[in-house]
Order: sequence, then C-alpha cells, then structure tokens
Amino acid sequence: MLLECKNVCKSYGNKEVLKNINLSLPAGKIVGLLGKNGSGKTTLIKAINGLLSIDSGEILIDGKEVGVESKKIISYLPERNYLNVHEKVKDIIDYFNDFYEDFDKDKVYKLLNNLDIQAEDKLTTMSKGMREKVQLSLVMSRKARLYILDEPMGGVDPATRDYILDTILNNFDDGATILMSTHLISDIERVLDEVVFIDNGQITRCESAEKLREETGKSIDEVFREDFKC
Amino acid sequence: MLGKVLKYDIKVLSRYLIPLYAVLLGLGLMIRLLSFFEKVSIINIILGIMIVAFIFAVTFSFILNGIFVIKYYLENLYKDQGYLTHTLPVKKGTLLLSKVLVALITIIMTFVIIIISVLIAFYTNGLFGDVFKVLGQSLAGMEIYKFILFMLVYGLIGYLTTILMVFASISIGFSKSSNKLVNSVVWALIFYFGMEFLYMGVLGIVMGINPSFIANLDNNTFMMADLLNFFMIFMVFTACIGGVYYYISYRFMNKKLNLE
Repeated sequence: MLLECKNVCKSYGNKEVLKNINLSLPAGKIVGLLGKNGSGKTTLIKAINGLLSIDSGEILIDGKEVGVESKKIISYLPERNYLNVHEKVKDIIDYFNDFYEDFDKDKVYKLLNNLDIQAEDKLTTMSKGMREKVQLSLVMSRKARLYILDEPMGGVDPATRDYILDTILNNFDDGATILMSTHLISDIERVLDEVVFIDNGQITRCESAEKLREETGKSIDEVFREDFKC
Repeated sequence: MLGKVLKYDIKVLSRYLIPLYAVLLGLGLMIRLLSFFEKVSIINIILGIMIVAFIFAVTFSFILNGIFVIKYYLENLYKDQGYLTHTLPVKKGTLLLSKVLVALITIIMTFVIIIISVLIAFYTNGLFGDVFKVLGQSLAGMEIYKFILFMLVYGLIGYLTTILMVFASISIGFSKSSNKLVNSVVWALIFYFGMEFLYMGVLGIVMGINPSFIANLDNNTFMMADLLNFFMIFMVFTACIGGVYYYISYRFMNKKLNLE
C-alpha cells in the first residue's frame, strides 16, 4: 500500500476531529476524499503531510513514517497560498528545484507559458486565481508518487475548474496516486477510481467508484447527497 | 540541506535588512558631507539633527534586526508559508538551525554595517592609531581589547538566547488550538521572568561561595579579571538557557506541530 492510516485520532481541545481513521490506498489510483465542510478532510490531509501531529495511531507512506523520506514522494497542494508573494516566479521555481529532486523545471515553465505567466512576474501582481494556478503548476511538475490536493477547485469558476482538472490529469505518472479532497463531486467524479467518504471525523465509505455506482445505480454525487443529507 | 535552507533564509531577510543598511550608510554619508559646511549655522543645526537620527538608527538597528528574524521565523514556519516549509524534505532540526544561524549572521552583518557607517560619518586622520592605542592599554589588570572581545561574545550569546526564547514561545504558543499569538506572548513572559529569577539564583550562589564579591566591586583590590570571571559564569549560564530554548523549539516543532 502506498498510504496507510492506522487508528489515527486527532482532537482540537475537547473536539475530536479524526476518530480512529483506518485507510489504505494503493498506488496508481485517483482517489476522492469527499465530505462536508468540517468533516475532517483537511485535518487528515495535514496529518499525512506532517503539518499536524496526531494524538494516536500511525501513518505510513510507502511503509515509512511521516518525515523527510515521505516528503520526498508526496507532492502537496494546500487549500491556501503557501508561496512567498514577494518572490518572482523564477525564484519560486528555483526554490522547488533546489529542494525537490523529482521537480521538472522544463515542465513547470511549459505549464506557466500556457498561462502566459513569465518567469520575471511577481506573485504580488497576480490575482488569487492566478497564484493558485502557479501553485498547482509547481505541485504537478513533480514526479511524485503521491499527489495530495486539498480542495484544488475550491472557489473557482467552472472554466478554471476544467483547467485545473485537466492540468492534474495530464501531469501525473500512471503509477502515482492522487488523493483529492473536494465537495465539488460532480466535477471530478468521472475521473475517480476510488472514493472515500468522511463524516464527522470518521470514514463512512471507502470503495471503488465504479462499484459504488453499480451497486446503488446512482452517481457518486447523488450518493453523497443522500449520505450527507442534513 | 542546511546550506540550501540558509541560502533562502538569508535571501528573504536581506530584503528587510538592505533598506535598514541603506539608511545607516546614507545617514553616515550625509553627516560626513554636512560636516564640511558645519560653519554655516543652519547646516550645523541640520548636522545636529542628523547625528541624533543616526544615533537612533544605530540603537534601533539591533532591535529591528531581532524583530525581522522573529517575524520571519513566525511567517516561515507557523503561518501560511509553513505549509511549504514543513513539507520540504528537510529535517526539522535543519530548519531550526538555519533560523538560528541566520539570526547570528544578520546581527554580525548589522554590527559591521554600523561600524562602517560610523567610520563614514566620523573618521578622522589617526583614528585607527588612537583606537589601537586605547585597545592595547591595560585597565585594572587586563588589556581593553580582551575585555571588548569578551563583551562582544557575551552580547552575541545574550542576543541569540533572547531570540531563542521568542522562538520557543512561538513554538509552544502555535502548538495550541486557539489564541496562538496570545499563548506565545504569555510563554515569552513566563520565560523572561523565569530567566530573571534564575539569574537572581545564580547571583545568590556566587555570593554564597564568595561573600565579599559585591563589596569588592567598590574597592581597588577588585581586578578586571575578577569581573570577567563573574560575567563568565553568567555567559555560560545564558548559553545553557539558550540551549534549553533551542531544545524546546525543536521538540514542539517536531512533535507538536499544529498548522490548523
């Protein structure tokens, strides 16, 4: 298994946000981590990336604990801008190139050229949406084994959503796994191999997208709406 | 990896520090130029104002340097940029060590720039000769240069320990689920008063071992070497406390990271 979460628990004060999470993801799959706002998606993603310490349990990436080795094979896109906005695009590219052995500089320049973004452009001069695209281009220009994308299409227009999804699908190796959190299920369900439903810090479903559609006779979006009906 | 992290840390901090250095050097140059016309009364007044501004700039340079280093630590490790910094394939210890080294490097750079700007402003023929003459002199049984060197090292250790105290406070404060900044301030106050309390304890121990120590400060039998021994105890003690703060910062960054 590429990713294994075993009995992972996490609380913020008295509030339990991850309750005994058990999850195993194989290599070579596109996985949707689906849940309502505040269900624990982002917390789980942050724990896998080592941005949050867990209270108990174990997270293994390719058999290794979260640390330097796991970070070498994970390419992570957070739900916020994590780049220094005072930097020029070329400086940020150099930064990624210096730290990530699997970073493909030519690929990122190609992706940014398609967006008409120049190496000398400063992030401060760009719109929020453009910065997100730069960030996505950087993340997808790594030859990672696990891509973790937290709400990559959150708060953007439908045309940009299509662009983002195309960028993701056209820029990852077949052997890699993508774990993508979102609540815009209808936009991504056609590309999902597996779905993981998370509600109130617990995994409620973890199965093949195709199997779920066959068994229920419904789209994943419809199943989600039923499962999470308020 | 330390070299790479350090390279980028210095690069970002330079962006803050270069304007500060420009102000210091600019003021030094202005004072020098205006001093050529100091006999003109209005220029003499401006010169006086410039000198006062220069003294303020020099004094605040060290404080600003510390503020920049702490601001960068907070933003790079515990705010949004932390999402990138903590997902780099770099050990937490390397990230922390780089921040400490950059604090050390920048304070030395600031010190050097201050010396250069003072020389630009006030250099006169024979200044170096006079300075070396004074440094070579002996004061109460010790060469002055040795004393100054000692105080510089002590100052650096004290500065780094203060920076590490704030680093540790931020690391603890930002491990909490809420009120992260308030928690950091509270921990900084706890550390500060705790440190003062410990210094009093050390002074008490020194006086317990050598009861005549304080009385000797007022008479001629007290030598510079005795004073240095006294400061040496505090310097080693300060360095040890700095080590404790470093460990706390590392421990909380490594085991209690909480980028909510």
